[in-house]
Amino acid sequence: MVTAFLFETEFFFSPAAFFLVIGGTILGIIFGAMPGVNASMAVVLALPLAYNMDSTLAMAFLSAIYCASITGGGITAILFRVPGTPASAPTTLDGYPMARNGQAGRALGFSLVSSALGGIIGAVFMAILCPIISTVALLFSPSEKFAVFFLGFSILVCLDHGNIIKTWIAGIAGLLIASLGTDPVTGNLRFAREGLIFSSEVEILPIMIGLFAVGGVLTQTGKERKGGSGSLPESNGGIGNIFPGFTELWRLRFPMLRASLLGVLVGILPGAGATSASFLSYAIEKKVSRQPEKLGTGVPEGIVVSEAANNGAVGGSMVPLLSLGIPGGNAAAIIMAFLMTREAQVGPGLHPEYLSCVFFAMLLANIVMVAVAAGVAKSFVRILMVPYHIVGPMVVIMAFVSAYGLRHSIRDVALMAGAGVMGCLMVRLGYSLAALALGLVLSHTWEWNLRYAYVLSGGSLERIATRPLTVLLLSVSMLILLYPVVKLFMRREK
Amino acid sequence: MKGNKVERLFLIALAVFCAAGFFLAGKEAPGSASADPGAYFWPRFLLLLLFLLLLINLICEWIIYNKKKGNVLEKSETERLHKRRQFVGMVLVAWFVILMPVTGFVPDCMLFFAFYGYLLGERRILLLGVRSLAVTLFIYIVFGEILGIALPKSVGMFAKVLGFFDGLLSF
Repeated sequence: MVTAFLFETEFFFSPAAFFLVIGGTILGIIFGAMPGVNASMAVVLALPLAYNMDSTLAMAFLSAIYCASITGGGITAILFRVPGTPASAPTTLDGYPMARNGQAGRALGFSLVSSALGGIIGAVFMAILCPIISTVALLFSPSEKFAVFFLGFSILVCLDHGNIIKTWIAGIAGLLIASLGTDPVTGNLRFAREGLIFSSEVEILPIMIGLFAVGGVLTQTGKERKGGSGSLPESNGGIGNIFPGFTELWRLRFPMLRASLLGVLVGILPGAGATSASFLSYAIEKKVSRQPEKLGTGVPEGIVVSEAANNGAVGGSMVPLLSLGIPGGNAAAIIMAFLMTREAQVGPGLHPEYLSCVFFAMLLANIVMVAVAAGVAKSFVRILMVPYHIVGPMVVIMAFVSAYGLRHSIRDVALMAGAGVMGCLMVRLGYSLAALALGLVLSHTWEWNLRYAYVLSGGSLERIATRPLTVLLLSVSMLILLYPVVKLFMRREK
Repeated sequence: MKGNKVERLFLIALAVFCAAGFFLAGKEAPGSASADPGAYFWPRFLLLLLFLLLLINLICEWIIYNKKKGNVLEKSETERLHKRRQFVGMVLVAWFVILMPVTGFVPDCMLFFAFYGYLLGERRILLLGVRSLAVTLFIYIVFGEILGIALPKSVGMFAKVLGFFDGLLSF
């Protein structure tokens, strides 16, 4: 692992990689600051730029965008009470009051420093945990790998706040859609009919682009628009001096560290993501703080715990992706779908250079974004003034370019558009997009492992069911699945 | 609960589709000579599981609907307007994709941007036209020319009319 990192250090200080990560950071901050454009959309919109890049450079670029978009959301949350991304929503609770009290600069400084710290801690944990988990996972037999995927799915279902049955339906639908086309074991086509849309392999990436980009715009189309109205929203006036003093930051070291670690842990869980991390971190800070009544009135603690957690979750969400092939969040799922188009062996067998590149990209992006964001913060008012009737159609057009640019196929674009409509309807009816996305990216590997386990056991399910680790993982998964049901019964009894 | 009737109909249609798919896959599935359960095992398993989950969901929705009977709130005028706007947005997206192979990227993109912008509330037609042209050219130049992502060219009469655009922009 050390050798790989040393190799990538030399590679990464090449000008191309350096400028790509800085460019990705700037783009990510801009996308993240735009209301209505979340981190997943930011990654989708950057895909056409990554198509012509080398795989490792593309991974570094997309990772930088992912990191920076989460931070960009915090800037507008503080200045204008409009979170650029859902993960920055808790930041508005203390960030905006601080800005209204003439401390916008200080608030921004706390946000940027805590984001950078959370992001760096997330990247370090990712670098430490991934090789360990990969090494262990390489020893797994196909039945254990199948059970691990089932565990990941169960965690997502359990964590989803909506209807559990609907989440399962969405997940199974994702698995089913991805199973159309080619059989992963024999390579034969199944359900194929000449002239039908699935007469060949169904590409997952256009569907993901449609779900998150086009679906997001269609969802926003049916909502009341806030922010981006073309006129300057309520603001505090000047930003002033941005960086807080070392003493102030030192005083907040424990909340920042606690939030960063929590963010990493939450980010590792499939379906949890940066938004859950920031809300959970804020809720925990309210419980452990010595002065909980001050949270929400404009104190730095409220900003640092939210921003450190959401950036820590970025590194956390890459851990299961790079080590097991299970994405920890929607943006990670899109990055995984992109890797699959490059025919990278996603999972424990993923080449270590991808981990190295993502690690260095996250380190560099988190350091650079403090300077970049501080420099452009004053011009963010212009970004926020871009009305949604420009942003929305632009996102759809760029999603089209992303889908078309993959294979220059109108079929992919049609899939994307269909997925966008489906995504919008799913959100409206309360079905989970995260579950659908997880199903899409896991289907082939899951099926392959199940069938291979069956073959290795000589066609005997009994032999699979007696493997201790498989039984343990499946049992834990069943307990996790039953937990919401038990909770529901206990609530009814009260 | 949102979209009850439409959702129920859709779930029933999906359940029927799953059942049909399960039996169709069963007919197509070749016999497996080895221990491998075969190419159709996984899709059939998923179709069966999905069918069962859809049934459970329908039953739960029916129970909840019966409990709430008489207490269902009417949708407000604003909600109806937003839903209509969303539906029009979906139609525009479909139209954007359908027209693309015929008209090519530039005209289709301009029209889509203008109509979608109008849908989202921009009423200054001249400004809408100028913005749609500017955005289309920006995207065409950045992605089509600088990054080299070949975008759909116009065909037929559109190619003749708009051919000069491609000539102008190709540098």
